[in-house]
Amino acid sequence: MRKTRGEQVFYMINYVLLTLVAISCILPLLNIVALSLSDARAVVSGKVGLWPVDFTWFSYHSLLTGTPILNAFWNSVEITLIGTGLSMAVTIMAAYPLSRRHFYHRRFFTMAMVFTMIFNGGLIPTYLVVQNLGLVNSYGALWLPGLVSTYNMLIMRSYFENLPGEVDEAARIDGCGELGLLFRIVLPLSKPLLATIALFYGVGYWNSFMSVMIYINDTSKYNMTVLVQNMIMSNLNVQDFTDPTMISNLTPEGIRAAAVIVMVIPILAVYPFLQKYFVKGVMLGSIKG
Amino acid sequence: MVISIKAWMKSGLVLGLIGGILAGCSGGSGSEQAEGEGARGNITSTIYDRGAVPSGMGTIEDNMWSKWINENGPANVKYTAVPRWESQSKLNVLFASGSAPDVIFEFGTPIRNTLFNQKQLMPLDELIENSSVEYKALMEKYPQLKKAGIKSDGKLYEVGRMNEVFPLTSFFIREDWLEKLNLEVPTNEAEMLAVAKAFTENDPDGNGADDTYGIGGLQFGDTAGLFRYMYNANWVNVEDGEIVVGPNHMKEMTAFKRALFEAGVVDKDFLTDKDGAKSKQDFLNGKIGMYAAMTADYTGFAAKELDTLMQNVPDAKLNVIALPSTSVGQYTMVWNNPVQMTAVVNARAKNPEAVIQYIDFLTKTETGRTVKNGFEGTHYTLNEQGCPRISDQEKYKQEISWAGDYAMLYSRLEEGKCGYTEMLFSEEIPSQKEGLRLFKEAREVYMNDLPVGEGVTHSEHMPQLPKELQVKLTNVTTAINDIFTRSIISGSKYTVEQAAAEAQQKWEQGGGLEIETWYKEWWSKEKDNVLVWDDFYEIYEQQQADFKKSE
Repeated sequence: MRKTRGEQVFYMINYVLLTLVAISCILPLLNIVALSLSDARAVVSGKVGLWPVDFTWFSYHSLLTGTPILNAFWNSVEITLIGTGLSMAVTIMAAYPLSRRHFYHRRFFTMAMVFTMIFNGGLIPTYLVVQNLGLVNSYGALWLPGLVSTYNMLIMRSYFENLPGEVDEAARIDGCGELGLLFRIVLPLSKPLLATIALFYGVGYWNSFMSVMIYINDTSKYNMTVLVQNMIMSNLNVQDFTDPTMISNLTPEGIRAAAVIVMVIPILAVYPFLQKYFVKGVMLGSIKG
Repeated sequence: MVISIKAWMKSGLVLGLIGGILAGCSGGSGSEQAEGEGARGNITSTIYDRGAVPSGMGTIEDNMWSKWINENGPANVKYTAVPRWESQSKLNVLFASGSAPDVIFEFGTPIRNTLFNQKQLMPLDELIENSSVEYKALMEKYPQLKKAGIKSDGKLYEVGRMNEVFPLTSFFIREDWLEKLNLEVPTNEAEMLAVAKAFTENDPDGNGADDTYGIGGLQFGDTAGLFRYMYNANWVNVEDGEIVVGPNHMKEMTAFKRALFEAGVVDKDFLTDKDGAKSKQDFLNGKIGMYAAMTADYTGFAAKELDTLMQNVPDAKLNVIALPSTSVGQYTMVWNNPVQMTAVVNARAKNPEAVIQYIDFLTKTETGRTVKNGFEGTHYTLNEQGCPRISDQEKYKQEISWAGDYAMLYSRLEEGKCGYTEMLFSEEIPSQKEGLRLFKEAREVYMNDLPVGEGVTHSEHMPQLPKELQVKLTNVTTAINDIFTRSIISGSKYTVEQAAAEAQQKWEQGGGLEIETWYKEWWSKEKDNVLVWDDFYEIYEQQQADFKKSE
């Protein structure tokens, strides 16, 4: 199909705008990468732009030997992988029944869950609940209170609902039970959605900060966000440095940049693998005609 | 289905691979503390976590220093880590859930005040009287410690340490530029403006390009504070013994900033330089003639900023100059707080005697010296003056550098001359030698009997407004700052006079009178109990006399 003149202009503007947006996202990241690979003196003098000055691995070396970042990295991985797995399992188990029209009192159960989106217990009461469950200082405190995001569950429910009834009927006629239906029909048809929601959960767990800080007392269980935040915030603060020897506790900018890179790379690395699900047509090829 | 499992495994693999690349060694952490013998008390304490414990050294709550304190101290201490930058929320949760430790170390005065207002703290008067040796002795030597630790109900709740008094910020001028352009050190507003203009326009760095500024950023970063101190432009000031609350001297300060802006002697984009990083870089690259830098840690300043400047611009020569006098008088730069409260005790502490013994142990000079320097022979050697010098930088970094927060009760000067800042410079390094010269110069220039340009007293000794007034104050000060900032950049469309009138109106509408009444009441009740700048000056003179004696 030939594009009209108006469309051509429209696409042109789109490309320009989107390219600008993309650049504005990428440039700061490149700057951080350059900072992490530059000599400390060049960093302090502000000579580092998008390309490292006096290239050195020093920041990464200090980061790996001088801080508990490796330990925190594995903690983040553990929190994210197990958390995402648990959350996905439970969210699917909640969304699927609620998506079936014959499910008993499904409106009531849905509303009960939506209710939790509007009201919550507040920080201290939630803490007390977690404490009485004996979860303080364990990752259970990170997984359990936020196991199901109601919002994600609702998206999943309506997605399941909108799968064509014909597929459902066909499966039942061929003798498929509820479990079979879920695992062999519904979930395979929902891969784009599952990928998206798993990514939501994964990013959420990877970035979890407040909950780790509040519930986890043992610093060897801290994840990367808490650790990196501590490093980034260790800027000059008058109160702390009335004692001159405290300066050695400052984390230099280059090392902070390296820590940020180590923190964001895994999530960036996951995106390309999930990309195809975002792009692929939702119902591609499931019903003919 | 099959495909999806593969894809998932792939993404998992990526995570794993990245981890694998980074893996090399994994941090081993020790386990529980050994139970002590029967007579020793068991207590708990907070320790700041700054994410700085090197791998292989354990965690901030369980490491060689926590073990050392347990082995050599009077009680078995179990530590709870509190993230340094989120201490408020962490402490809130710990207290609300009843799991707060017995001893709370906290630099933030508002946080300690909040705990006091919530009645979470234990009064310490009798405990110290009956059970303390070291801290009691220190408090007798420095009655100011007692004065600072007493709260509004007349009881002592806080313990702390004595710090060395010195200027917190230094106002630098490029001496080499002055010489080159044949200029004098500016002593008042008009001269400062003239020098800044010359620095901007007469190419002081001699590179033929118009790339220099007279002065660093006006609004953010270290130089911003300079104007506040120059004009004593604070929300709470004291004049002739009476408290004055409101936008004090801000009109005059703004008029001068506007003059600087309009003369083009400052980076026009100063408002976008939100943390002052740009102006600092300009300064370190030798492009700024007058710049105020935070120098709370002069050795650190020498090692980092000064060293960078000396590498970038070998000809640069800095001098520290007095704050120029202004239409509202002449003031001096803000000083360090010598009487710093750092710890409070939980009202629910089960074994207050053991707590006091622990506080005593941390107050001892030997404890602080060891935690700060390590062990003689292993980490340091004594130099010809008998002061500890790090002998192995790597070992120091690995084992000592991160443990400073165990010494929050350590009064460094009690050690004698070795505790003084001027003994910490390593003069064989050029930038350290230069740093020492500037440190001494700053002390000479700023430690005098001119009024300090930070209002009543150091912010750590200011009282806490009730919550609703605090909110009002924050809102109204933000609004007024915006008004004045607008008048700096708006030219004839919005003058400083207009801004001042509008600011006054905002102040009255925004609850200024209530805030004023509260502070006046506080001052009339507490003015004899508050430590003010004059008290700090006395301490300074005492400290300097002690130093001379020890030489």
